[in-house]
Amino acid sequence: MLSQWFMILPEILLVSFVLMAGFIENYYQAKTPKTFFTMSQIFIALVLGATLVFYNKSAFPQFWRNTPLITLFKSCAYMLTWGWIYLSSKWFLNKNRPSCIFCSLIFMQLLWLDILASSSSLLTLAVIIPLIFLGNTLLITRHWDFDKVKSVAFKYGLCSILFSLALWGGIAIIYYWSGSFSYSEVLTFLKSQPHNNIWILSSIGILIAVFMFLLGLVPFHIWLVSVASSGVLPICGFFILIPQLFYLCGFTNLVRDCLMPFYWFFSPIIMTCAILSVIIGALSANGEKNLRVFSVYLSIYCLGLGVLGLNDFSASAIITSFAFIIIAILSFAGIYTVFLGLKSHSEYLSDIDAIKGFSSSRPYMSVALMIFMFSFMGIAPTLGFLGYMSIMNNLIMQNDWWRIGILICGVLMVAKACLDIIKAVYFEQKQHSYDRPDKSIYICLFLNMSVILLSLFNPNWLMHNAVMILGGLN
Amino acid sequence: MNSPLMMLSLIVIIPFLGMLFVLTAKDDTENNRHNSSDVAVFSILANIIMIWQIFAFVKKAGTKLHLIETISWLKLPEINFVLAVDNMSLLLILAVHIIILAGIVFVRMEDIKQKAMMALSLLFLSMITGLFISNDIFSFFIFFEGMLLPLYMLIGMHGALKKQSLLKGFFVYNFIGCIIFLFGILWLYKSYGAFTPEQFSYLSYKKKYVVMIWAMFMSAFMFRIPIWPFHYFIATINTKIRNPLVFLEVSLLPLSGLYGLYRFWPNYIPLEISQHFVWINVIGILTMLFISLIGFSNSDSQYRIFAYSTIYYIMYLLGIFSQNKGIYANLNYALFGFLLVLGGLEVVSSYIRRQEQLFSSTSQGFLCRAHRLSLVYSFLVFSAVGFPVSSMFTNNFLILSQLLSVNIHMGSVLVLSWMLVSVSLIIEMLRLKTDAKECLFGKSEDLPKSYFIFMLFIIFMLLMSFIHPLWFVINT
Repeated sequence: MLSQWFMILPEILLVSFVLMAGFIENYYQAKTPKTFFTMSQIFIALVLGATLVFYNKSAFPQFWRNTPLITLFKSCAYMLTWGWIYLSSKWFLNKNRPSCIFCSLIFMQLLWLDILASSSSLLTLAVIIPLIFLGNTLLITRHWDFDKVKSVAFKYGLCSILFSLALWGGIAIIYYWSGSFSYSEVLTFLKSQPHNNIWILSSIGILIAVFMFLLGLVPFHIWLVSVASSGVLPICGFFILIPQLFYLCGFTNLVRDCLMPFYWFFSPIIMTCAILSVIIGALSANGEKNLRVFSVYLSIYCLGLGVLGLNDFSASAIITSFAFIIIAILSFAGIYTVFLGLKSHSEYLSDIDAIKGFSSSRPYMSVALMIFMFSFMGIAPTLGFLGYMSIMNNLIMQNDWWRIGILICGVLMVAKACLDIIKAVYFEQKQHSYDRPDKSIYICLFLNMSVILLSLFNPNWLMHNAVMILGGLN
Repeated sequence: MNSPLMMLSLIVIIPFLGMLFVLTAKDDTENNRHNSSDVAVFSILANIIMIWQIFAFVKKAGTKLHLIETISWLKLPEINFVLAVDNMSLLLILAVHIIILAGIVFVRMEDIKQKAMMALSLLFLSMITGLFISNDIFSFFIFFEGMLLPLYMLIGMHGALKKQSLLKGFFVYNFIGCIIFLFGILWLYKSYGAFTPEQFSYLSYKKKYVVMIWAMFMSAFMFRIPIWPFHYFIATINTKIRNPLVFLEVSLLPLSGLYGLYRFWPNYIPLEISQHFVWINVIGILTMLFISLIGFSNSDSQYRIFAYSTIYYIMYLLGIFSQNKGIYANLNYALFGFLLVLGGLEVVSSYIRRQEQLFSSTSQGFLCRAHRLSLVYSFLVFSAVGFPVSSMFTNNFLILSQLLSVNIHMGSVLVLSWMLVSVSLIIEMLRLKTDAKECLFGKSEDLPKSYFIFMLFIIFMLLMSFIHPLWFVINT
């Protein structure tokens, strides 16, 4: 019994933070926005440590189960969260705004996301996903001017309710037919099912659609774009950087461990969303004037490519997609770090005009931005090239020519959009005077670039060593 | 022989490290102290010494590769970088270093921000050096594509282009070539697991997709050579750039395609495929003829130099396609001389243009008053048109004669085009030597001494390339 409590230490730590933050907020007088961020960083480090220690141990395997692959996804996500919380603290300190609710919401979301990534039962999904929706809605509302985000939060909340109801309905149907919530038992049941059971097909379709909505893939992407255009920078950055890895992990588990017998049915749905995301993401990024919205479209494009690379959900497909998404998220972390340094008269700038001639004032940040942009284009020898190459190689190995065609079209369209950003930074006249950026911006950029350089010189930790971790998969 | 002290990797790393040092250097523009260009010059000189050392390990004749280095990069898919050099690649690396040095020394005189230019030029140098030492198609691709990044930035920041859309088109166009190349490489890897030229010799051309893969490689290389219909962006960009360093770097772009064909083009191609190469010959000579005619009728010296370089690049391309052993044996010295002449001519012409702009005077008669400039310019033009003063005479004429023996019609048009560009260069020289009252230049506008000494070094290298091309190699 005691060992079970130890195994859920990461989850306990996440809950403890929320309780402790509430306690400090109410009873500790000398608190500052920094107090919560220092606490967050300590707790995230502890959660990461506990996750790594219990990398293949599960307290309640019937509900959620840890595997080396899941731990790999979670570890990357926690490290990113650590970095983003550190950077977000600068935003809160600059604006002098309370940070307790922000930190607590992030930790609550991490708790649900952690369970979602490990989930091994449809019942867990039925409980956790509505909680994630709720957390997302509350995060969207975190704005000092509530009117700006009211309509986005309302629409997202409404969609969340609809998707939650649909999810419950879908899971109830599967339970009605199979008599179980467990992934493995549902998998066995689905293997024996005829392919024309409309109830089963519709419930699988609902499950897939819910994940597409969570990931923000086209046609369910509007909420992400709205959040980027009206939300505050730390929230916007959180949505782009953190949950994707958890969602992808949960989605991969669901498909591989539960729905695989109906791959023929849901594969076209997933691929249609992925292709639409690649094309619409790349097209919309072109000509977009708001940098944050631009980054959202770029993120939709990258997620689309990642899902496109998942293809048959084989071990090699998962690892290539994983590598691609990690590389993309590293680049997004870089560009959001730059966004935090893009400040004029204490106001964070988000318009493309704001970066015109940026290189003349902030050469190092501009170089970093340029490298990240070339990375999104997949130009060798940036790290992005490795991601594109692995996806392309995997598709060629499977003779998947039409998907290669889509990948190439997407790359060319994104190249055009990224060149516009580089052009604005380097080839145009300066239009703003910029505030002196915090040292932490440079520290984070340096760390990010170091990780990129290390990965470039020894990409095996991303590709081959990850395959080793995937040992159980085949 | 394996490479001691990883010398080949070092000649790629040194310019790269130089770039990092340039980024940390501070220029004192008030006192005209250009620390960034000093660092760049020092890095290039250090690398030239390394290259000189490497020459000692390479036998003078033959195409055998030396100093092989294998670096394991990725296990899934298994990718190893194989680096090696032969006489040809070393001569090209040396020539590229010298002409970029010439460009940097010229740009030092200019009153412009140099830091970014120097850093990007060193990055470009690192990439092109890597390209010449790559002995597997994957590492070749990395450097082939990597060249685009500094080139795009250099043209955008220092090329003084009025139409930015042109630059975007140029980049996307080259990027398409790279994507086609990568696709071909991965397809080849999937089918045969082959990356090196030695492995390519086992490929069966009876399979249609092997022919398709080679067609992809060929089109990727042709994207870099200004031959119709691939000429538009390179030609337009090249003729609009006014910075000699950037111009020279853009002029080296066709060399990457040419070298790719030289290094990776298979030794044996069945007749049913090679018979289609006649179309490349036809398109090539027609492009040559048109560009030489435009160069002849154009008064812009930059366009004339571009026409000159294009004619020679296409001539070498036709030489490579002919798969004639005599041409292959002469290609290294011919390209070495050609690159030195191209670099020297561009830099000297830029100097004349710069003086023209500074003094708002005509340049007609400038050479009558500036004797150092006159000596350098005349030598370079004579060398360019094929006088017996450099390897351009012997090796190029041997290549030309071989091409004439392969196909007399093609050779004749080639000679005609070559004559047209030569005449256009001579006409320009004669104009500069014909004194005019409107010319405001005096002796003080002559080439600065330090720069003159550097140009004398290039002249010396060209002369020696005629007498004994590898005079500087220490026998081991």
